[in-house]
Amino acid sequence: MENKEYCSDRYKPKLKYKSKGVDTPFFTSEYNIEPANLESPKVKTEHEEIIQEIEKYGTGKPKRIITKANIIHD
Amino acid sequence: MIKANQTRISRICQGDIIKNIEYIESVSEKNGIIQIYRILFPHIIVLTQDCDLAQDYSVRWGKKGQKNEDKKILSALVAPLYNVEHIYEGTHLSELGHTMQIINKSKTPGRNLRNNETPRYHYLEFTENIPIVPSVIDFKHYFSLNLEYLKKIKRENFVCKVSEIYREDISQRFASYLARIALP
Repeated sequence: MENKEYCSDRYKPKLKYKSKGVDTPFFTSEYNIEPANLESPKVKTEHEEIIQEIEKYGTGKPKRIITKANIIHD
Repeated sequence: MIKANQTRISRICQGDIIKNIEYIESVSEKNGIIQIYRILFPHIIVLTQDCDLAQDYSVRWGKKGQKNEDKKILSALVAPLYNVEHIYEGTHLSELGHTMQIINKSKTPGRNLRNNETPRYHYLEFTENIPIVPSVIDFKHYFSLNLEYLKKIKRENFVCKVSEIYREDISQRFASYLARIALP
């Protein structure tokens, strides 16, 4: 699985990385779940790892490359 | 789920999936400056018939002393694979500036796509050992590639080869899509 390219759903950071105050059922007082502390070193590291993996495997979409070159006449 | 083989052989085969393939879109020259537009495709699948590829290989790189080059082909036909999640969103060509049709994943169009009931697309789901996410071949986007380029890039960028029965299914569906007749 390590080499799997990430599909778009997997690009999305896990729910716990969402910023404080996001109004989702998971963060309401009803469930009494504390939102993740984005400043904590552990969360930061995991988040950076996800970003690095996305960068490594790319988005999986075709890209256009434009190359320009001068013609050299002999 | 399809079967695929990760054993690489040197010749190009029908059903080969190769990553990071460059397609030359156009070449232009203006005031002594050449501009080359290329599209880098994350994955492509080879659609050319395997017997044609085998015969071409023996003419090009086989033993010397062939009578003629009658069996040599000019290029190989391939089609791109797109991440199915991007296809659903219609964003698979967003980096080329194209907006594509959205396909509702959980309704009939999405189900038809996954059941290979949409003539334009062929859905592929690989086993765990193949490093490709569920993908879709878009038969409308077929293009051709130089065989020497393909052979060279296959050394480093080969991913897998779709097993015979599955690749025949792909070929049949591709041929059928190409041969479609528009009805008024």
